[in-house]
Amino acid sequence: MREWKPGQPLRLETERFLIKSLNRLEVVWYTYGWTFDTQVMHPFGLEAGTWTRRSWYRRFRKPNNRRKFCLGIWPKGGDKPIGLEIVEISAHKVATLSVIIGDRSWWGKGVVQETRSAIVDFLFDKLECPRVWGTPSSRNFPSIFNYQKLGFTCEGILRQHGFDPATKQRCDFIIYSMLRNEWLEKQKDKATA
Amino acid sequence: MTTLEEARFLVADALERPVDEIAPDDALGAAPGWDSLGHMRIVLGLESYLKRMLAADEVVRLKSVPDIAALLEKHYRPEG
Repeated sequence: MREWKPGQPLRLETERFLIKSLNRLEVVWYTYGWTFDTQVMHPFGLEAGTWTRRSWYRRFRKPNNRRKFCLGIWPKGGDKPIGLEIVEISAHKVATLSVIIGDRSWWGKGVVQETRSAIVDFLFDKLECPRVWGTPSSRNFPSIFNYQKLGFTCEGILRQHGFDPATKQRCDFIIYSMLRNEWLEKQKDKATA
Repeated sequence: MTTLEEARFLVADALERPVDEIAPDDALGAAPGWDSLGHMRIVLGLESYLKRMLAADEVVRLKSVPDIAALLEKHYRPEG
């Protein structure tokens, strides 16, 4: 990876994907079409088909590539992103993760496992974050799978924290986290396995 | 049939694989087809089988075939 400096667009590479910073307009340009797909939007507690380009634009606070990153996931050789990883870092360097895979043809193909690993590596290695975490809905089973498979720890349940547009009912959110030392330990184990 | 065997059948059914391909100690990601979508099919299949929605704390415990067997066990013997 070329030496990255805070504020500059980030570019990470995995075996199958390029992960590249998008600005706010690019996010809307590439992802607005996904807002019409209930199966993409509902796991995030978002209604589908109700967004205008402007309201979708407003949803993404300006990514600055310091504390907030909107990262497009590009298959190598592809001409558009298939997903979007969003990372927000607090004043105390705790990173919050979320991801949308908008191109359904890539579901179940290990995209999040591969790209999130690279992003978590970056957060722990380059940014020296002590902790990363995410809060998927308890009905977002693919997301739960991804956190568990990567070895995140379930810290608890936020009861009735969100709303599930599919069932029109409140739903629980689950807290998954990974500490820097845990991740480094896992990487070491992987390397020696 | 033991709950472990029942769990293997449920996983095999959800993943549309022969039951022989599902080992009694398989964990998420280990069995063929047990990816993120496969996991969703397993949880939804289990909910359909038990005829109820799983609670969040049950969902987070489902990481392997033995975990599914434990959930079935609890379902059949809630006081046990």
